[in-house]
Amino acid sequence: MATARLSSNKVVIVGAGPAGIRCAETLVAAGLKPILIDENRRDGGQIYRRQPEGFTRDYATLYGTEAGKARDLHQSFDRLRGSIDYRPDTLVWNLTPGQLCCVSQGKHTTVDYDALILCTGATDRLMPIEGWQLAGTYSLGGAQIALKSQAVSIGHSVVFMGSGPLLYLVASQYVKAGAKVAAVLDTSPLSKRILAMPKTAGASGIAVHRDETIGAAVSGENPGTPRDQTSASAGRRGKRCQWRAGQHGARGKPDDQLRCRGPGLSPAPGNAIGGPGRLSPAFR
Amino acid sequence: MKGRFVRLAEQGRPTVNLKVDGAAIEALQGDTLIVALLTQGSALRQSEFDSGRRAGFCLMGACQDCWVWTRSGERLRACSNEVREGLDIVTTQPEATWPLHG
Repeated sequence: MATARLSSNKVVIVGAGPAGIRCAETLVAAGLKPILIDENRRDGGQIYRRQPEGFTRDYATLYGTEAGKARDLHQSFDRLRGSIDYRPDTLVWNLTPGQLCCVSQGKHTTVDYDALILCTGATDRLMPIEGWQLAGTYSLGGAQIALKSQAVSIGHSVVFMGSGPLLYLVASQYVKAGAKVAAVLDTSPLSKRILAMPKTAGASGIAVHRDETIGAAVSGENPGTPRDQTSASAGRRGKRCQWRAGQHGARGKPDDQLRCRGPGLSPAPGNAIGGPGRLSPAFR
Repeated sequence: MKGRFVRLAEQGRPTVNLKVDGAAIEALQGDTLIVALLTQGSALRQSEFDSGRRAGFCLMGACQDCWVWTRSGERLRACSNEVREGLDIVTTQPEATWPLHG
């Protein structure tokens, strides 16, 4: 009965990632034809983001251990597409009772709804440190999108810093794709890392610095000039250590500061920041 | 070295010709504008708040850091718009700008 009543109503889903696609699938199975609005040009959302038409990397290359889930989600969407009102490349910027305000291709539109389901996902929780706003610093998610969606690295030599399993996942994806990863700076406490250890093994050939308190990032704005260095300063348990990124695989040694600099990081840098990290007192 | 981004794969795509600040550049079909510009340069545009240059940040259309413009004044997020043949991109904000500090 509820379904019969709803079928004449407009059900709108915002977001064509895993949640939005599964939601649409359930509604279609119940006899409804939902409107699926998504800002991306292609379905899949962020984790299962689809590469543009004409790209040829296979599922295993793009999604690793998630390849099966990614393929299943994309196939589900392809099956659904004729049964839903799919509106890609459409940004929802406001909602009022019964109406969404959208913009698509530079033009404003409105979409009426009786029922609204938000499947808008999540974004990085960022760790702002001094220098994070400089050109060449990207969110960890952004660094992953560059690789997954466009087959590019965010820099010639990349330092990943922050915490959480995504830090190691993205770093290992960069290594597998042939990018130069200068270092992974992990700010998580030891207890958390032990819990995560089974899932974070395997990022080989990268200098990993753990238990870091990151102070500042310096990112070059002009590749090729002396300022063109990617650096991160970090203190380790009250002490500080120094490390040169040119020494691939080197571990830090106690010193005043952890600095990642030198020829290994020239000419064009990239930093990827993931959070949450522990900030040094000066930056709290 | 002039580029910030580095291509790692998918380099066999057809080329697309566009202009950036009047200069002809070659990109690959399926490139986003940010990839087309940053594989050949270090920044996308001038910051509207300080003297720095901007090169994008989130790459998912959220942070508003990667705006560029078409010659006709259309504003595009470079991370979420693809290159098109003949596109004429301008990296200087055509609208009024904030006064710069310092």
